Amino acid sequence: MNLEEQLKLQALLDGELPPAEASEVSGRIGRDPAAAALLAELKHTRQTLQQAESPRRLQESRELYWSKIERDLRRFSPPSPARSESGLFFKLRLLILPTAAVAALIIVTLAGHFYPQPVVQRKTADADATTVEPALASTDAMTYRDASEGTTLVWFSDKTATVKPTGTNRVN
Amino acid sequence: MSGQAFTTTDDAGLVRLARGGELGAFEELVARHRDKIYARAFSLTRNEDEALDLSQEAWVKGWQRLKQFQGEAGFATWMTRIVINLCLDHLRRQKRRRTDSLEAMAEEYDGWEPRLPVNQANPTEGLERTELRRVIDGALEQLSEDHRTVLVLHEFEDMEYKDIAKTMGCSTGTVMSRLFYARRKMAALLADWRKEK
Repeated sequence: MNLEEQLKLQALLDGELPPAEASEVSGRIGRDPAAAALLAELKHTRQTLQQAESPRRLQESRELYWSKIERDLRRFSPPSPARSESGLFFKLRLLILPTAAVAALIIVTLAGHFYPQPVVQRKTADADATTVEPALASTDAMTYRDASEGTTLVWFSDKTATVKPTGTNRVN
Repeated sequence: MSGQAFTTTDDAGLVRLARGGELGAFEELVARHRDKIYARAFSLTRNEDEALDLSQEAWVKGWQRLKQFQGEAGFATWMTRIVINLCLDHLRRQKRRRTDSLEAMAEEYDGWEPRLPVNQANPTEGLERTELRRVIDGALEQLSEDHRTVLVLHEFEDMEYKDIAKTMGCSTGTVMSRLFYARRKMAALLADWRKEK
């Protein structure tokens, strides 16, 4: 018998062989005494082991054993309850989140239409770019930043008034 | 509440309470199944201190993963799977540390064994259970880690080939081969013991 045949014999014993192969291997056992002897040995060993696992008992007391576990458990928060995906809250959440996202998109679009933002001039060709950008859109504040000069200018103005520089801040 | 207050609650009820954060309920689960979890850790590691540490680590993992427990298998079975995985990880780490040792070289040839003669008689027939357990325990000690692990998972945990392969991270063919040689080696060890008697 080669190894493959021996493993099939074992698979038959363990009930892991497909029915077609099982009948073929069973037939072989009837004809081959070596196969029958090997099967008997495997069966004895399996039975012996299954009825003879040594029961091991912890020597430590319940309190001592638990104390180390408890110390580690207290480092973690209690296990969060399993989430019920069929719950009412879960179903509502499925509805609310996309609706809120669509509403937010509409508001942003309308706001852009009725309240156009100040023009932004940006030169981004190199790292020392000079930029003019709105600092605080709600107050019409504008900043001018020149990285090469290390200078930042800030204008505060209302929409009807002429833009005048109201302060400077040198950045070194 | 102390774990002692939950002695009349069944495992499923204790799991529900523990999921809600009731530590006392979890303590009662530990008290009920600690010997089984420790015994499985010992059967795989063959070291009392390591088995103690790994069994306690398993309980901590069990607490952290309680929400994943679906209840298809019993709680003890679920916990046993956790401790088995921890033990196998532990053994793999140990194996990596001793890659240069002779034992590791021998394990490289796992699956290869000299042809053993078939033992016709059952060498443990007529033995008292206590004596039988002692003999089996001694024989298990002499198997390689891989052979012992596959034997423990198949014979003591009733796991199928494919589940053992998944747990051990190897092919089903390797499981079959390891199980075969483990059984044959056990039979030879038991026969030797009988002759010495």
